[in-house]
Amino acid sequence: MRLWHLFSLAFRYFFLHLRHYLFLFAALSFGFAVISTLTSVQEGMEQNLYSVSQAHYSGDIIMVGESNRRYKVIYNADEILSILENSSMEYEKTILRTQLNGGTLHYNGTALDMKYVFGVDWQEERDIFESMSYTSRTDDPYTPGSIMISSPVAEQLQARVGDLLTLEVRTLEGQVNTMSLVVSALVEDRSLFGYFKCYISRDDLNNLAQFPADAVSNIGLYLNSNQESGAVREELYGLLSSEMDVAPLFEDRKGLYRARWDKWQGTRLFLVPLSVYLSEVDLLLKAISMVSYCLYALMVLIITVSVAVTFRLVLHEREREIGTMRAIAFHQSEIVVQLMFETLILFIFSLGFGLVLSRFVVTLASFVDYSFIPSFEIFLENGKLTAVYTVSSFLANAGIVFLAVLPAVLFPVIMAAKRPLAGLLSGGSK
Amino acid sequence: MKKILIILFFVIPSFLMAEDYQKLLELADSLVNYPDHDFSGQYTITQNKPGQGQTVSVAAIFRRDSQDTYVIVIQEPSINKGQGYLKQGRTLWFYDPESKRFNSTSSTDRFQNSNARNSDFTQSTLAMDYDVISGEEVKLGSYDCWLLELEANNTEVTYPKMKIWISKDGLVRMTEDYSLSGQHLRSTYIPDYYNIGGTFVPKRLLFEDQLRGATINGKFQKERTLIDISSPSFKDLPNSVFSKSFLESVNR
Amino acid sequence: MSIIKLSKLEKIYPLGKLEVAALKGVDLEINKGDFVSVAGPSGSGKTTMMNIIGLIDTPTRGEICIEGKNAGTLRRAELTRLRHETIGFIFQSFNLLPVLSVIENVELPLVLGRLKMKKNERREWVEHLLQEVGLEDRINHKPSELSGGQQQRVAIARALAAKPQIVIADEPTANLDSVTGERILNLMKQVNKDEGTTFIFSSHDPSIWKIADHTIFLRDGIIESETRQ
Repeated sequence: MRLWHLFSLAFRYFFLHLRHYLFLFAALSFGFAVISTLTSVQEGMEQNLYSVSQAHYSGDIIMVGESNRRYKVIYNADEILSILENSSMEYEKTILRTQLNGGTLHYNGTALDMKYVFGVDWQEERDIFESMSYTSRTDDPYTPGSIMISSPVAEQLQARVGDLLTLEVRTLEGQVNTMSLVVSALVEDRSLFGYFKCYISRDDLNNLAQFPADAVSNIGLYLNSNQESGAVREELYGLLSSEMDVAPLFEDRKGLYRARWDKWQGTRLFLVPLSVYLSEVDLLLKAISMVSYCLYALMVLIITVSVAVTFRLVLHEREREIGTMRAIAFHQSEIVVQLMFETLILFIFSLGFGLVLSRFVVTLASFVDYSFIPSFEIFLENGKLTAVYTVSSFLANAGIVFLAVLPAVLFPVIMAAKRPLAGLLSGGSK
Repeated sequence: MKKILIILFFVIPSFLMAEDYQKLLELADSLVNYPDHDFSGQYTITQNKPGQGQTVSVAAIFRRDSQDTYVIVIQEPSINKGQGYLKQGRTLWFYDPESKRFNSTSSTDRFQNSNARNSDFTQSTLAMDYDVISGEEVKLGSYDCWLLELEANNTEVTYPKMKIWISKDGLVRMTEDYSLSGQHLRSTYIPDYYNIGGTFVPKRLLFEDQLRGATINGKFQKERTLIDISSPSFKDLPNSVFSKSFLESVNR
Repeated sequence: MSIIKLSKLEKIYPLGKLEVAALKGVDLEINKGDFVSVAGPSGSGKTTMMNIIGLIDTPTRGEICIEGKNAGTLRRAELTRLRHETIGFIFQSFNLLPVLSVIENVELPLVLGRLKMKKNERREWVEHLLQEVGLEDRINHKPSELSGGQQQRVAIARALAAKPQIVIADEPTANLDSVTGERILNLMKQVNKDEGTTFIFSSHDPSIWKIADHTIFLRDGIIESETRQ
């Protein structure tokens, strides 16, 4: 009951002293806005990177068939899928792809080497392709004999939708083979993953590269959002290693390379988590994180100092009031509680306003195209920054700011509450 | 042996059986292979990319067919000077004088980004690598030729399908290279040969890419690479030439 | 019977390297129900003595007993509780809480105090007090909407709300005009008579001393004289 009265008093005092709290409110709101923007944009960048990578590598865990052949091949994809389906393992879906690292597109005399040629099941991956952005496309680009290329490639070839390209590749045995394909879509993808890659149907690519009809290069496993990749990978390893040659699990690129140095007969299956492929950009991610953390720490410091200085002034102006309260009814601890309640109310309002300010800033920032920054495209969605606001990030940021503000407020409040009563009532500190 | 084969082919009626086409291939190989001697020569490689101008490279070639090895040293332009290739059996090394490292490359790759392939500089193995699917007599310019359609019988060769025009003297005058699906990829023209004591060395090789080129003044012009071979010699070469240290020493 | 007893009370304030003795050994007894005025010129130690009696300040030396309890032996929390339960305060500047209405200001010592009262009983008691001070029609007004005299009357009601034994009033009429000041004093006197509450107030005004039963004259930190009526 006393606590409720103290809170009620604190609420009224907050609005009475709003003028005094305005600077604090501005400092806290601005600081929280900056922090929220930093974390949400960073999360957005990581999410964009993950989404782009997931679509590029086709899954959260990618089963890759390695042998001494020119390309990666899994000959027993049906067997693997059957094992998965008959197990109790949970996952969202599997994606089969054939992949060639290399190939040349020819159009009107211009030849452009590709980094990747993907053979996909158009219908199985329809939702992935529907989520991509296109410069132009046919109504149904998912037909045999069609090819999707990225817009930078199209620009260099001077090709458009409907044009007939020749795709030249080496077969599994190393022979030159070609196929004519109709451009069905130009993908607006200028990222590191997007350049110099093209998509054709898996049947077409298997035919072109002389893969067995049911062979694939990799099987991508998409997990449910609440699943942890490490645990699923271990479960997968347990399921498959008893039936076929599966490489020991590894956690990073170095581990993958070490596993590849091993000698084996035939095809060995590698279970590669997406994080291993993403470790290529790990250094860039770490650099971005470092900058972000430095700005974050700086902002927290600014908030702490602003609050500490301003709050002392606010308390100084309210000394007589504090003295009266202590004289007539309040214990020292109750003074502290009431003032802390006022701070809490200020904090909550500041968080709310800061969050709104952050969203406003992010919305403004999203009008700019940042793809001119080299290597930055992989963190963007169609060239724009996106922000992801999660409850956990909000709580973490609020917690950190609270912990930073708490000593800045609590210490002066305790000092003010403990001052000699005579001095407080006389209007000066003694 | 070569002379006997030539005489036989001139004498035998023009109608040939399949096994005779195979022997024709053997003859064509034998005329341009040098199993008893080393071969050296200077190759001037002129690349013509329509719309992009011309680039000229000069390279020294050293071949020892008996050991299925060759060495190529780039002499011009200066930016590529010192680069080299060493074929040892089925392995082809590329030497970069900048990094002083040898990297494994493939015979099927393009030579110095031209329309020639690395495999074009090794000895001819048509008879070993290809089966004759069909043959007929045709006229190619002033030459009476046999036109043979070939399909590779192994996966080691660059082009799985070929058409080859062999003149009555057993020399290859023209080839057309095809992909597995039958797409015409490249044409090679060999207009004339040096005759050095019954051993033949092409004087020039013209490679014309069928897919690469550019439209200039409304007309599609294909990429071409012309190789002029000069100073052919069959003098034996030191064994040290066909080694990595030779390529390194050339650059010191 | 004495409700307040001061024995050899001294209060010394350090002022840099110097020491200023505000009280130099004060002995005083105040009886229950007394209406006491403390008089003296500026710097005589009036406020210091009032603060010590009100348990707002502590003596440097000497003893103070409130209702027989030696304040010097109590811990801080016990001292605070004793102050809240036994003493009411009327300040020169009224010191009402601006965010609370009149009735809430008066109710505050009861809400946060240890006097057990049901909510409706508390309300009735507070309304009675406000009626006694003549502000029954202003109960929902904020202090900023009242005159000085009205505010001081609220302060008196607040000081009496927790039914203290002692009320300390430091210059209660200093910020009021003479007519209002007289009314306030008469009100305090009335409460003193009706409730038996001991009143101790300080004032510069000699005319106000006349209504007190017991007047203490302070000069230079000692009691110069005492008169009782």
